[in-house]
Amino acid sequence: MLTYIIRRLLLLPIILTSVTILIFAMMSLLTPYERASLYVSDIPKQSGALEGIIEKYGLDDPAPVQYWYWLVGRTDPETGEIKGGVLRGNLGWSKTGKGDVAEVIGRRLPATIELALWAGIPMIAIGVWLGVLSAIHHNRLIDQLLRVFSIVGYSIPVFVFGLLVLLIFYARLDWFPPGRLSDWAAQIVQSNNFTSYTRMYTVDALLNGRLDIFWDAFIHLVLPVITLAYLNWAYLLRVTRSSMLDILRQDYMTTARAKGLIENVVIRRHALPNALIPVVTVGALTLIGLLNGVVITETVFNYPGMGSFLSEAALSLDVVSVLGFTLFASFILVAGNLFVDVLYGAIDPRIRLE
Amino acid sequence: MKSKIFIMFSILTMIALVLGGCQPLAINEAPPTTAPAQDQPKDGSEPVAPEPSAPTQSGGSTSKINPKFGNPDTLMVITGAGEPETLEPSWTYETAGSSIELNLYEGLVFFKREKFDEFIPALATEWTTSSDKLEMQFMIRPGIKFHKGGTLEPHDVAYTLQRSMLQGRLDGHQTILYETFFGPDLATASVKEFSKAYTGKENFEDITDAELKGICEDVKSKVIADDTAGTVTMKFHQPVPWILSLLAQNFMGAILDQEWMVENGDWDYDCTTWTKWADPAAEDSILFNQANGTGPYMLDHWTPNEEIVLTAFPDYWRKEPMWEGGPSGVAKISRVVVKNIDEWGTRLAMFEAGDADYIYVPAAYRPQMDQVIGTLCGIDESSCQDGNPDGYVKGFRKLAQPFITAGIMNWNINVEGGNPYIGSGELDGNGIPPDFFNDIHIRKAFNDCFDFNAMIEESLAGEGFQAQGPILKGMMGYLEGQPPAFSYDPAKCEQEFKLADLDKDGVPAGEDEDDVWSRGFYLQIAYNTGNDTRQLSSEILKAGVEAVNPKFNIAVVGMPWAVMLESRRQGKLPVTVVGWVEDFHDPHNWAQPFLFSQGTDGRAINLPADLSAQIDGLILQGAKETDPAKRKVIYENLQKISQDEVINIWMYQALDGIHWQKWVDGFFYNPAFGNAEAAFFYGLTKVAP
Repeated sequence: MLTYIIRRLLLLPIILTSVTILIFAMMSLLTPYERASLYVSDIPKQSGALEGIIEKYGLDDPAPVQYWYWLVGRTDPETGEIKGGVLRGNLGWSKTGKGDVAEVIGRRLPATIELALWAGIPMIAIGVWLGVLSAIHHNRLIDQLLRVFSIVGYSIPVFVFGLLVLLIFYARLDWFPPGRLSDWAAQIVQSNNFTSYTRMYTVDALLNGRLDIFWDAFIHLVLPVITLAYLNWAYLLRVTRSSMLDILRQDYMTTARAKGLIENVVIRRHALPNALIPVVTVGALTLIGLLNGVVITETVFNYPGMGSFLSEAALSLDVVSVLGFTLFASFILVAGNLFVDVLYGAIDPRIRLE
Repeated sequence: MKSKIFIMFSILTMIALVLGGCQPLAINEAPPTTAPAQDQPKDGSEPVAPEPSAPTQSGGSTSKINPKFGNPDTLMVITGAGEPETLEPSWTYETAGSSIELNLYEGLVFFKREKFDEFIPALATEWTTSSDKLEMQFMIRPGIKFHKGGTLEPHDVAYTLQRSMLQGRLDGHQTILYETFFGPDLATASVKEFSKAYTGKENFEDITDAELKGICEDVKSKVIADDTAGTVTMKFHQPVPWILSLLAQNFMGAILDQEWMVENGDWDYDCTTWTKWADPAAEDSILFNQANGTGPYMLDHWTPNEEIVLTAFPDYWRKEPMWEGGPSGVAKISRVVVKNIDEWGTRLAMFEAGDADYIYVPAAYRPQMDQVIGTLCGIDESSCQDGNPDGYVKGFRKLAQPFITAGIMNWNINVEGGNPYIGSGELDGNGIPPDFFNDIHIRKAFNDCFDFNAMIEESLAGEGFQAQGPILKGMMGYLEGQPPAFSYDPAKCEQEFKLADLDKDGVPAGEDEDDVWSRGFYLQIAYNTGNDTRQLSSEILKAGVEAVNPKFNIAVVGMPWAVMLESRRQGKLPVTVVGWVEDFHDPHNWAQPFLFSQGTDGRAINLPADLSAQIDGLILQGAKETDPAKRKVIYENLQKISQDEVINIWMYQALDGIHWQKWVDGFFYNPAFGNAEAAFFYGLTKVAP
C-alpha cells in the first residue's frame, strides 16, 4: 500500500507540469493583443496602449520563454527585483483576485472547504440513505416518490433553484441570508477579539466560544448547502439505488436471507458495503468538485469561494490565476483519487493496492 | 410504520417546497410599465433632469414588502458594476475606484452639490487666475489633518501632482495632465511615451539620466509650492477652461501626504530616482489597498471581491456646511460597506430584506422597480413625490447622465490578412468593399434604418433620448432647437441605398445592376458578449437594414472582450457600438474622444485625411480658445460636421435611475461622481421609519 501511495505521489509533479504546459500551450494560441485585454477594462483611451501592455508584460515573448518566466520569475528592469516564479514559491499576481495567487487561494479556500464539508455530509449521508430506501422498496410508493424527487432535483437548474430558495427563505421569510456572515458578525470576526484559526467561520466561532457567530455563519450556509445537497442527492440516490438493486439480486443475498438473518442485517452487513463502492467513487468526485468551487451556487448566494474566482479568471484570460488554480485543483484531484483508492481497500478487503 | 410516515412526510414536504417555489413571485407578476417619454431639457444651459412622473400603479397588485431597518450607523451599498482595480487615485481611471476615492481624498475644490460645473473651496480656501489664464494660485487651507495624522501643507499638493505625472501609468488619466501642463502634443499614453515625445527619442531606454532628470525638473516647475506663503502655483501650457473640474476629481485632486508617502516607500522626490516608480502595475503602488487622504471617510479595509469598508474620519476638518443645508463635521453615518454583487436576483433579495440600503439597478430592471417605488424623486429630495403607497423604495429617476452611445462606422476597413467581418470584401452580395462606409449615402441609410425609439424603449425602458452628435444636450456646442438629424424612416433608408455609388461608375445604385441595391451585401456587426445593450443595438440595426432589401444581410456576432478589442484595434470591424462617459464636463471631452483622429473612438473611424485634418484642427482650436462665445461656435461647428458628414450613428444619451431604501436621506445626484449612485456618502443619513 505504501509503495502504491508513494508511486502515485511521485506522479504528481509530472501531472502538474503536464497540465500547466497544456494550459500554457492553449493560451499561447491567443494573440498578445487578446491576452492584453486582461489589463484593460475598456477600450484604451490612447493609441499604443495595448502595445505598451504587451511590452510591459512580455506577452509577445515566445511561449516557452513566458513559461520559463512563470517558473523562475522575471526581473523588473526598473527596480531589479525578480517577480513571480513558481519555483521560488510565488504563483504570481492574480489580476482577478487582486492579490498573489497563493494568497487569493488561501483567502477563498477556507470558504469553499467549509461549504463543501457542510454540504458534503448531508449530501452523501442522505443521498445514500434515500438510495438504499428506494432500492429496498423497489417499485413501491416510496421508490416512486423518491424517483420523482430525484428527477425533479436533477431537472431544476441550480440557478433557478438557488434564486427561488433565496427569494423565499431570505427576501420573504428572512430566515437564511446570503454571503458568509452578517455585517455585525463580520465586524467581530475582523476585530482583534476574535482569532481566525481556520478561516472557516463555523469552526473558528466554536474555537472562540462564540455561539452567536457560529449560528450566524451556520444560517448563512443553509441555503447554499440545501441547494448543493438537493441537486446532488438526486445523483447519489440514483447511483446508490441501482448499485443496491444490483447487489440485492445477487445469490449471496438469497443465501443470507435463507440463513435466517433479519432483513436489516442483510442490508447493513451484506448489501450496503458492496453497493457502496461505486457510491464512494461518485461521492468522492462530487466532494472534490465542491472543493474546486461551485460557480453558480457561489454567484447566487454571494459566497466568496474558489468557483467564482476561477470562472472570472478564465473569462478574463487571467493566465496566471488560471495556472495557479490549476496547480491547486490538480493536486486536490490527485490526492482525492488516492484517498478514494485507499478507501476502496478499507471498504472491500478483496481490493488490494499494489 | 412510524418511520414510513415520517419518510413520506419528509418527501412530500420537500416536493411541496420545490413546487411551491416554482410559483411566480408577486413582484414578477406585474407587467413592466413603460416609463414615460423623456422630457427634453428646455433651457438649454444644463442637462438637468426632468421632473419625474409618478410610477404607474395599474400594473397589478404587488405584495407588500417591508424591508427590515437595520443598523443606523452602517450604510450597506450593493453595487453590481464591478469593483475597483486599485484604490490609488493616480492610477485609477474607472468609476468603481474613483467613486470610493471621492470619499477618502479631497482636492483643492469640490463640486457644488449636484452641479458639475460649479465649485466650492475644499483644500484651497481661494484661488486667483492670471490675466492670460496660464497661471493659477491657490491658498491652501491650514490645519487640515490626513487620516494617518499628518498635516496638509502646500508641498503635499505639489508632490501629489508631480508624482502623478511622473508615475504616468499606461493608458491612465495622466494624459489629461500632460495636455494641461505640456500641451496636446505631449498628451501621450504613459510617462514613458511622454518622455520619448519630450526628448524626441525613439526608445525610453535611450533617454539619458540627465534628460530624465530634466524631465522631472520641468514637471516640478509646473506646480510650485510655497509653504511659507501657504500657496500652490500651477503653470499651464495653455488656458484650461475645465481646470476646476479636474481639480475636483482624482485626476488632479486626491491630495497625498508627501512625508507619509516617502516613509512608506514611495517616490522620495528625488529627480534621479523617479523612474523606479514610473508606469507601475496597479499592485505596485503603496496606495493599492491603503489610503491616507483628508476626506470624510477613512479606508478600514478592502477585501478584494468581497467588500470595501470605510469609517468616518473623526478629525475631519469641515466645520461649516458645504453649501446651504449641506453636511458639516464628522460624517453622520459612521461606517459604509460597499459590496459588489453581480447577480441581480441576489441584490434584489438583499434590498427586499432590508440588508442593503442601496442596490444598483440596471436600466432593464427599472420597470420592475417601478412597482415598488414609494417615493419618487428627481435629482434630489426637494423634488420627491409620493408613489405607490405600498412601495418601499425611494427612487431617483430620469437623471441626465453624461453618457452617449454611438455606432462607430469604419470608413476604411482593414482587410490585410483577411477580414471575416466583411465577408468576401467585394461588392458581390457576399461582403462589402473596405470603403463601404466612405459613401455618405450608405452612412445616411444606416442612420435612417436604425429605429432609435425602439432602442430607447426596449433597451433602456424609455430612460434615454436620441443623441444629436458627440456634444451632450445642454452643453456648449449642442445645436439647441434642432432635432437629431435622423429618425427611423425605412423609405428614406431605401432611397439612400439607391443613391449610393459603391462601384464609383457615376450611376446611382438604384439604377445600376452592379451596385449595392441590386447585388446586396453581407457584413458582421460584432459586440462583446455579455453587453446586452450593444447586442440589442446591433440587432435593431440589423432588423432595420435587412427590412428594406432581402439582399442585405447582417450577422450579429457576440465575441469575447479580448477578441473584440483585438479586431477593433486592427481596424477590421465595420461597425462597433461604443459608449463614452465624460471625464470632465466640457465639450472638449466629447469632441476629442469621438472625433479626434487619435481619440478613443475617433481612431476607429478612419476618416479621410482632409476631413480628419479639418476636425482635428477645430478640436485643437477649441481646446486653446478661452472666449466662451468663440468656443461655442467651434463646438457647434463640430457638432454640425458630425451630422452633415454622418460620421457615426449617434444613438442615445441615457438617463440614470438610483434606488435607495426610504430610510436613507440626503442623496443628490451629481453625474461627475463616477458611480454617482454610490459615490459621495458624506451627506447621507439613515432615519428609522
